[in-house]
Amino acid sequence: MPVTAQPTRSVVFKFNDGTARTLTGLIDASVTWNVETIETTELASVDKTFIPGQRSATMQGSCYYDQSDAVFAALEAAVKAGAQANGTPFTLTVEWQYTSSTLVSSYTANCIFTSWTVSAAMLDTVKASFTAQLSGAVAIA
Amino acid sequence: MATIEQAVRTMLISGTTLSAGSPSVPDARVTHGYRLQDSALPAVTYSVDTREDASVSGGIQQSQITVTAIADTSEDALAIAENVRTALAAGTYSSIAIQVVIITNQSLQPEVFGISDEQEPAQAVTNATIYWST
Repeated sequence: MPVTAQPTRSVVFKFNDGTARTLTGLIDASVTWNVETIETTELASVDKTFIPGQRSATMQGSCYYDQSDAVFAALEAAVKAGAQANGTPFTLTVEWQYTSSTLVSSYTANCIFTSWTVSAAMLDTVKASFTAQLSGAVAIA
Repeated sequence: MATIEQAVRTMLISGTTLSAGSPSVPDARVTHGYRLQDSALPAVTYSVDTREDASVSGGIQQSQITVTAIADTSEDALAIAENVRTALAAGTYSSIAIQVVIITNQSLQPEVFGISDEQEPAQAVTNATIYWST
């Protein structure tokens, strides 16, 4: 069966800073994997060869800036804190649902928020965007 | 459920910004889309030109709206347009939460009249982007 295009119905970020929270009002969200490569080319070879090396992943998202929203305020605090007070890492899940079904897919991992940008421009809304470096294994469901 | 068109009208006639303004635009003269040529002036017409999703969750919608103040003179049309700017305010109208109103543009089409011509009223057009959710 060929791949079927799936329109986005809903995307949410779920993060846990000691409390399970769901951030809505997202403008976009993405996950990026990077896999390093290790070269194994032998001296006599013309074509280079590689094997997979270490991998890492990041999540990115942007949303409307609304500090009056408790979940948004908690996310902003989490970015500043880096980890929970007891040293436990935050966990972050990006979850998307498809319009044509109730299928839900998600990526979940421990994370450290590595960037936070608030932008404001004339004739536009105030927006926030963030990047989270995922740490350890990433669960795909 | 109310439509965004109904909500925008409720926003425009909310309070007495237009009806008690100078010149006064009674609520009955705030109409969607058009006004009859022989109806009384001044008047305000409005339209919701676009509607699109503005978030991938949370149900935030974005629309472009156009509000036209129509009066016999440019001075009156501009005075009403100023009141329109005040009336375009975030709030809950007809059960729809208009979260943000960003006025993006205003323009004036002066009144036109001349010998043997039909007089055309002045129109001050205000364009705005609104973010809303049900």
